[in-house]
Amino acid sequence: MIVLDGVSRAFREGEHARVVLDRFSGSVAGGERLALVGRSGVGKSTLLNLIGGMDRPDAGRITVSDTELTALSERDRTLFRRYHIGFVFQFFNLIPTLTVAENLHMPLEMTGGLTPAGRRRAQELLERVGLADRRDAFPDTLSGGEQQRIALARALVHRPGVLLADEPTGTLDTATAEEVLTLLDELTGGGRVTVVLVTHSPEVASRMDRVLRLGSDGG
Amino acid sequence: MTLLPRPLLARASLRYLLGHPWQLGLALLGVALGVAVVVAVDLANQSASRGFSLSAEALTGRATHQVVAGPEGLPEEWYVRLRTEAGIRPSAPVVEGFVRLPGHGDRTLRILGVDVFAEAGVRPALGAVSATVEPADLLARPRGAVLLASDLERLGRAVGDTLTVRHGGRDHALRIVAGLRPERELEAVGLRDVAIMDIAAAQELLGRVGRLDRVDLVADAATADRVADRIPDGARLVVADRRAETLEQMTDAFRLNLQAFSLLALVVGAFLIYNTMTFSVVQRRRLMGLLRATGTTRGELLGVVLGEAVVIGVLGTAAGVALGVALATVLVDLVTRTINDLYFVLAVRELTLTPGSLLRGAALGIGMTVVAALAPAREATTVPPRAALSRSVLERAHRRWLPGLVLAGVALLAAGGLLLVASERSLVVPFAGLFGVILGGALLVPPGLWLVTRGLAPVLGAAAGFTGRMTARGVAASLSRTGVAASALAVAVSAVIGVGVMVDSFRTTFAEWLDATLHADVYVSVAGGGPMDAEQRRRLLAVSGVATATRSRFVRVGAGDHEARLRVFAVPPAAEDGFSFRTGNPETAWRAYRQDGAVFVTEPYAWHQELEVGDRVTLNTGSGTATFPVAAVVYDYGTSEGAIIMARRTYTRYWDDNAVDSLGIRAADGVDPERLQERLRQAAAAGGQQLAFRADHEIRARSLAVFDRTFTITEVLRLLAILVAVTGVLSALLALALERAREYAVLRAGGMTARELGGLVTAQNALVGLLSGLFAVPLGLALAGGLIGVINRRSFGWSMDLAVDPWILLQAVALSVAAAVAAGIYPAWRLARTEPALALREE
Ligand SMILES: Nc1ncnc2c1ncn2[C@@H]1O[C@H](COP(=O)(O)OP(=O)(O)OP(=O)(O)O)[C@@H](O)[C@H]1O
Ligand SMILES: [Mg+2]
Repeated sequence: MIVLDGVSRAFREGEHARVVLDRFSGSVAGGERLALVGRSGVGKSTLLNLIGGMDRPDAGRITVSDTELTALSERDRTLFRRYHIGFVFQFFNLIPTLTVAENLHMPLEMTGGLTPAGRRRAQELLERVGLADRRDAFPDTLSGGEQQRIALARALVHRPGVLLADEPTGTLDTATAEEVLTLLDELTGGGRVTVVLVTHSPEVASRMDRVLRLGSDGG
Repeated sequence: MTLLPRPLLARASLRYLLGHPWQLGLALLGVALGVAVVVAVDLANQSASRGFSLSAEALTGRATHQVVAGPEGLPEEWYVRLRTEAGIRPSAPVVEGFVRLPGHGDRTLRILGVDVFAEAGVRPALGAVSATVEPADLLARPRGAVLLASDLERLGRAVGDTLTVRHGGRDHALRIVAGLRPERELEAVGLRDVAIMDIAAAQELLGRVGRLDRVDLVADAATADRVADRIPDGARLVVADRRAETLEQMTDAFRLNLQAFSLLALVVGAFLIYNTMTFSVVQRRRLMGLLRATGTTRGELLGVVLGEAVVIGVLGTAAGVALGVALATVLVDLVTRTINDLYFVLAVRELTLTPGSLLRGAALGIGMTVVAALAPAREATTVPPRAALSRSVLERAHRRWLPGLVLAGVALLAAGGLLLVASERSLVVPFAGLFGVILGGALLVPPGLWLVTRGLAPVLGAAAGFTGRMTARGVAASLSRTGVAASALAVAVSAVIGVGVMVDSFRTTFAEWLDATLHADVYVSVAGGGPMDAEQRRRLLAVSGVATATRSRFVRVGAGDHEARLRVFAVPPAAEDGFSFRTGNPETAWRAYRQDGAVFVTEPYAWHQELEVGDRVTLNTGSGTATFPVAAVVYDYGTSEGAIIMARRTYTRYWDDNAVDSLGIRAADGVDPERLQERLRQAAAAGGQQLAFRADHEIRARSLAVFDRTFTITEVLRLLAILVAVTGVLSALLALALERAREYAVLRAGGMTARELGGLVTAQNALVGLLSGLFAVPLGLALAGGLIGVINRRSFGWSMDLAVDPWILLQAVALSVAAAVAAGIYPAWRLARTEPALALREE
């Protein structure tokens, strides 16, 4: 469950401020999968970053899974993110100096979940995304689609309640995008994970439970 | 194809530089520091050298030849006969000596006793004194003296005042009769700390009545030959310029050493430029690909990067030259002090801004910058159009260089090692060898870093999870960055170790030598210098509790083409342990020394004159030229010029000189040296001559203090090299952290706190620092070995044992880690301040 209440965010641009979000309110139900669309520059990534606690609004309240992010310190927001949120970006998701398996283990280790059971889950996920044979490879030897599949697995390996994805298929061809989306469906299906996914593609948006268009209603 | 960037390219490049103020600033600082050190050392050397030649020239005047007396002095009558009978003029007699200025920090003043009427033809500047000063004034009591007006100002004296000087254990009042304001710089600088007196007054003051120290002549070859025929025994005729030259040449080695050190700072600075330029190219690969796609030629890109290097080089060099001039004012003082401690009295009070030094520094700085930028500039031209090469591809390309680096490194090490031992006496060749070793070592650092961190990854992974693994792999994965930083750091730290171990070894050897040499309990010398009154000597020796006394006399005598220090000792057999033999059988050597008129030579003297046991030295004695067999080479760290050591019996047989300069007194068994010293003081108080008493431990402490003072300049240079290295590491690791901003942002997005990430950055830097420090240890020890075994021996003639104090190594490694960790402070602070969303935006 994500609740945004009167959230505003502006950026300084030389002399004047550029208002990106102006008292934006909205919510995403627990387990709901929301597609966030809108023209470029409307503030989709900004919103996603706010929900993920990677940025602070100038005004308004953001509550994620009953935790009021806007009341937390930067450090506590970070710790909240560590346990409860998974992120996937358009590019550059993986740590280049860790192998595929190690990238997958990272969230587990950070949350104290790198137990034998945790490792098994990581291995399972690797198999689910079809890359078990590349476990010891370094990310830069993988294709874009393969990297994105690993990124997805990594975002979910520690069972966060929320998955935030910013154009995860933006750079992939249709077939590969399809693969990644199917995987996302599988891994987040059944109402276990709340998903907010930013996309420019109507097809991708249509596969989500609900589509929110930013900018049309003055958001 | 033009190498000049188009205006818009230039503008983009300028904006890039200004957009990375930290990198730009550190690169400028690196160039500036390197250039500053080189310029400062060069200026200090030049100033010292110029100070010396001005003083030598002012004191020599137009004299072409000098008749230099031996310890006995030239009889005044001889000069009179030379002038009247042989008609040799212009010629001017000189009595010269040093006195102390009590109450002015015991500063040294040179007394120049001249006949102002004879000066006109030899030293017109001094001859001119007769125009302003009545010669009778110079002779009235108290005795008159003429000093530079500027010296008087510094001493707080005016014409008419008296000035107290100390010599021969007595205080003498001088009346200042005039203050000179010479027009020419030559005299204005060359006559610094000189008191011009009438020759008779100077003879009296210096205790040399009826004797001259030298006669200066303006003579052609034929006249010189005629003079040569009349030279009395013990004296010698020398060409005036040559005498000054040989004196100054003694300091050549010392100055070359300083220069080599300063070059090291510049080499470290070059690493810094290389690193900055490489980084700027790597960071702009995308941009450069785009430029290539839009039709920018390779040449234009090359021009952009080289142009940037020139801008950095010129700005950094300009700052460096200014900084160097400021630094030189400090260094010139240190250099002068060291020359005073090691070689001869020299008063240099200001910096001479030799254009040559400034130009050399500027050329080196700009040249080094451009050379260091060549490789990165070439790399820029290899960017294919529209390429968005990933970092890892680039790193892999860099890694392909590793085997080549190993080969080149090993080859340089081997060549350097060969050069180090190849020549016999050269100093430049082994210095080149040392630079080869340093560079070779530096080239081996990146491959070494790669191997070790690769090996460490599993270990650190087991110990600290993925953070540990990322730490180790991060270092290996960005080798093109970390490698250069580590190399620069390792070079600087190895210099720190090498010089530190060298100085420490030297100090240990020196202290051990002092312990072995200081065999007496109380050393007595004359306050202000000069020989000891015979009656004072008798009083001292009559004091109860005196077991034995070594009588010493220190003189300079002609020795073929040069002038040698001669130390004359009457050593009681019980004090024979005061010498430690380098070569020569102590038993036969002592016998030859006592009975057969053989001499010992100190190690530096043997080195400079290429002498061995069994060779002979030829000296101008008071009874003609005589040769003396060398019975032993003894260790001696008192002077780098070296000295001949002769038995008093031998000396008095050849020279008519019974003077004693100092006594080394041993207390009888059961007598407390402190009490003995007290009794000696009381006994001496009865006589009119003031004596200075020093216990062996005081001499030891004083000598070590002088030693430390001598090496202050080395310490300063070492510190500067460290500063350059720290700047280098700072910029390299800073660049690395900034470049990784996105990777760090992903970690932050994944829930890593700013503090954890700061810890990761710090750990990575600490690892680089630690490994560089460890690589520096063998390199530093090799350096110390080269410095001790070859450079020092050839520069100063001293041999010493390599003594490795683990503390020095530990400190150096700690310094290395600290420098690297310090480089992580700013990135860590930045990470803590920025919201991760910001860092993710850029691409
Ligand atoms: N740190 C920042 N500083 C200044 N302006 C910013 C910053 N972050 C975002 N903006 C501005 O806020 C607006 C929204 O940016 P945002 O990245 O959220 O857009 P977006 O909807 O994700 O666009 P796109 O679909 O192109 O990714 C843009 O106009 C952008 O320029
Ligand atoms: Mg966006």
